[in-house]
Amino acid sequence: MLQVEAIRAAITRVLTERRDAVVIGSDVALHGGPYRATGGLLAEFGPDRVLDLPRNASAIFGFARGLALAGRDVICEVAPEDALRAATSLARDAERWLGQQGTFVEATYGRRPSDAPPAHAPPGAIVLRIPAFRGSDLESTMASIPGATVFSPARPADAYAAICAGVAKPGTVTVVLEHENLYRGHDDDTSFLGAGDDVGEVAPPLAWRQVRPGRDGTVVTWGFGVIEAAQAAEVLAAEGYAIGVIDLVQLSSLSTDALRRAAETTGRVVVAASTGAGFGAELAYALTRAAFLSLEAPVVVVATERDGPGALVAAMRAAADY
Amino acid sequence: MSGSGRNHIGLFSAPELPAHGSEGGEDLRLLSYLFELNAFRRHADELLGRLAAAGKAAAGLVAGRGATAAIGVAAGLDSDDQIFGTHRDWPAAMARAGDFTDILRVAMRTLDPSRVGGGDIRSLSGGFHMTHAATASHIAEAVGFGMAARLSGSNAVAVCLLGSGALMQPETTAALVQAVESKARVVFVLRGPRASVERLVVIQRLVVPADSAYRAYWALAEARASRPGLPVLIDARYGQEPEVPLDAQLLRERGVLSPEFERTLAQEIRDRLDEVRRLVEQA
Repeated sequence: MLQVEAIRAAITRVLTERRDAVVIGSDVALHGGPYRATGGLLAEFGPDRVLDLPRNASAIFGFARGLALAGRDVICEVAPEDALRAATSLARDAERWLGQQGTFVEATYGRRPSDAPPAHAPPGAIVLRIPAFRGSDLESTMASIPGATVFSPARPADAYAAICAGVAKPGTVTVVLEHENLYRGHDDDTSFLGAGDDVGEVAPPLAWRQVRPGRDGTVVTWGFGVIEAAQAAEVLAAEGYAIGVIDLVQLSSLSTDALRRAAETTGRVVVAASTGAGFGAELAYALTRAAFLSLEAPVVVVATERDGPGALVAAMRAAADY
Repeated sequence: MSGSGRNHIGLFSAPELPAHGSEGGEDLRLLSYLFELNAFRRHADELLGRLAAAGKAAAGLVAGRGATAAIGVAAGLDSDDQIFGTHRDWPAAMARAGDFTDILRVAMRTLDPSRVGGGDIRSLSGGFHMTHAATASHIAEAVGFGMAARLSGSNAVAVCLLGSGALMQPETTAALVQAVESKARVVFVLRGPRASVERLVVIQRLVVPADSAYRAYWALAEARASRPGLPVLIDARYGQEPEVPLDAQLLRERGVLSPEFERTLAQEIRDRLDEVRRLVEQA
């Protein structure tokens, strides 16, 4: 199954099982999205469930919040170039949206009907999909939103679970960063499609997973970086190095278990990030802080989008030889 | 009303509001109520300014001239309706909730300051959403709510407060276009200096004087009656208004207001604000 098919399967399941759920975004209905992740949904569910909106990421996220206030579960897709332009407002809006849940002013006086239910959180959930994201370091901005859950799935199963589990939590925002190179990524495993009796019972993806074990060093990465790291590790395996790869599926909240594991098993860690600064640097800091005493070499951050996979191979070799 | 007696309806006690769409001549109780809310808002605005200058409250909460129309429409909403604005639109939340205490708590950051996202003044059950997020982000949120109301066949209406700053944002254009496209149940209330929005989007426009909550109240009723469920723009942008607001003029002409009464009211408001402030500071 291709990753884009897993994404479409998750959205289809949500729309089938949650009658109030809607899919919104630019070109998601008539054209099925630029990567066809929503292809066919308009015909199957109709224009009240799958809606094309003006291409403006922060406006689309605003529409999503309004729909969630009215009890709708919303899967929204924003265009990557627009998400980049609107990243700051997306983050700020999400932060306020999530933070408000502790500061909702629940007036108990005035003209409210006495039987109005207390509402500390919006009744609907929002899954914000940012497709085709690459090299723009959106993960830095998105992972810095307090309270948001941010995934960058490398496998179809994780993409599926991230969308299903995100919809199941009212009042939350789940951000799914979808790398364009992964849409056509294939996985024979389709067992995840039948998980749970209801979409609300689909477990979220594990926060991290060991893709391959290592002895001489470990690469911590996410999204398409997992593929690149696995290929680089293969190259080094031919030279006699055993390099492990950890897939950091969930970027926020960050799992320090994964970081500790990486440091403790090999003592040498390379962070493969899309860009050199930002989230990769944050990860290096978190790793050093979580497992300083286990490290035998400085943590290195490699910008794969900028420097290419050759730089990753070189950094992994240097770390192993340190 | 003249002399020392009082016949106004009392601070924040909403009168039995007229049904939507029935103008029914002048309603002096409603007019008095809206006048009081506005008088309270002006004093509260000054208090917030003083507290901000003293470093005791968040700056930037000055409500300004757009508050009058906001109060008018907020007072005319049904219980299922929601009103959206920025944190500077707190007077609409006050009119909706009937109290200023929690708003002052937000301003003075005594309402669970450990949480992020402080500065928003929101209540889903209270029906108001005044956000401190990115400029104009509340406009799309309002339209989203109006879209949901349309999709589910609800009678609820989203009222969206906006001004000239928001008009310049691309998100606003997207939201206005989408409101018309999706027939969202939303009423926009435009305040601010004169500018042109009607050429951007074909949308029904009702023009009201910016300094009359009473006219804004009835404009909302007209919007609901004449275009049920369709987007409408209430244009309350200000220019050169008379020194005495229209609502006050009308109340004076009808003998409801006298200088002595206004002094008494002002003193009552100051006492009430002192009480609210003590409550918040103790917290």
